[in-house]
Amino acid sequence: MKLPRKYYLVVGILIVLIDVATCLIGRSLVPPGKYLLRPEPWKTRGDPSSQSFLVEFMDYQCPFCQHIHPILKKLMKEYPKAKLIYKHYPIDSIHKRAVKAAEAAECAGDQGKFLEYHDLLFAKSDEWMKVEYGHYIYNFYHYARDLGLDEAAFKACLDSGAKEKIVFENKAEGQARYVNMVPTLLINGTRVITTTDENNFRKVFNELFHN
Amino acid sequence: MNYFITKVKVIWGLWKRPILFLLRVSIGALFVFSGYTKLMQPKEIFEISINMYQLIPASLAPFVASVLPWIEFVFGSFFLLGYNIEMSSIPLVCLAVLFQIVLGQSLLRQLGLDDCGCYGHTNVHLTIYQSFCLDTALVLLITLLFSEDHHALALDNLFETKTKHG
Repeated sequence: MKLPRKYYLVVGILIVLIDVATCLIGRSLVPPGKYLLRPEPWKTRGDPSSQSFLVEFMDYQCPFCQHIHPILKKLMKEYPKAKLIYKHYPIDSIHKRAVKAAEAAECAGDQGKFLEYHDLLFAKSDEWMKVEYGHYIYNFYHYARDLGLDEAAFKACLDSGAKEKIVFENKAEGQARYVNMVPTLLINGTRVITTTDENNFRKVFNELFHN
Repeated sequence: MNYFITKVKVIWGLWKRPILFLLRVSIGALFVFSGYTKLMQPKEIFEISINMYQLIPASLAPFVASVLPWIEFVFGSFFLLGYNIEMSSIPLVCLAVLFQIVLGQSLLRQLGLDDCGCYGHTNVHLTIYQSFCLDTALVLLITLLFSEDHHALALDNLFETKTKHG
């Protein structure tokens, strides 16, 4: 026995409704924050109220990240409405010191000086990257002292490895967004740019933050 | 030679229906999986994937990222269940051809993408070339299924057949 043709459309609609329900249930089961690009205000440079923003996935040992760092800082000054969020993306397979450097910046962030420490790490990269392996950690302590941080608290934070989780959570945020190299910048979290050229950055800043 | 051709025809006659059934279910499931994984993640992640191909203006990416996964998911499920196979074949073939164009141009322009972004944030990672080959196979297989009059274990079989006079 066959069903009358008049039920054909009803079955189609039923399938679509089941599809929609499956998606809604599936979405409700996704752990909250799994794909979230966390704002992390302590790692944000520029105008926090700006609707448009750039996210930079970076590694403190990456020479191209060092190259673009002053370019981005300069553009941030030129465009007062600009907003840049830093995210860690240490290529730990080849950059053995990058994870600890990122942790150090996070520890400085606990004392409200992430951006200052971040700048210092890039400014003094020749120092801490060239010092004997294992000794660079002392450079990180010195930088904390130079910035006037509570050295004991900084040391306790860095030695405990408590910030490793946040560093790799940042990296996972990048991996979920097809980031596979550094530096990678995301425009408003949805468009990837991998340039290192100042003129290209200027075009992006003009597009996003022009008054 | 004739004997061989006859033998192949006999074997094909025997196995045709189960093979076509498996093909239909696999293709349907592939589209359902592809659409579902994209729908389970925020739209912005698929937008990144679309923008990586540098083919459409970035302002269009949010719309495409909203609509395309639903087309894959809904018509994939129609195909999987055997509901209106002829009608659901058309958008699926169009999608596969569209993907071929997008992937093909990224190969020609040497955009250097190492993940096609076809299956969202899952462990399934296809290179552009692998994905291009898969889409070529999909176009051929969906066309083959489209040309068939009868499909095993399809929802369509539960309904009275359409008469020429409606």
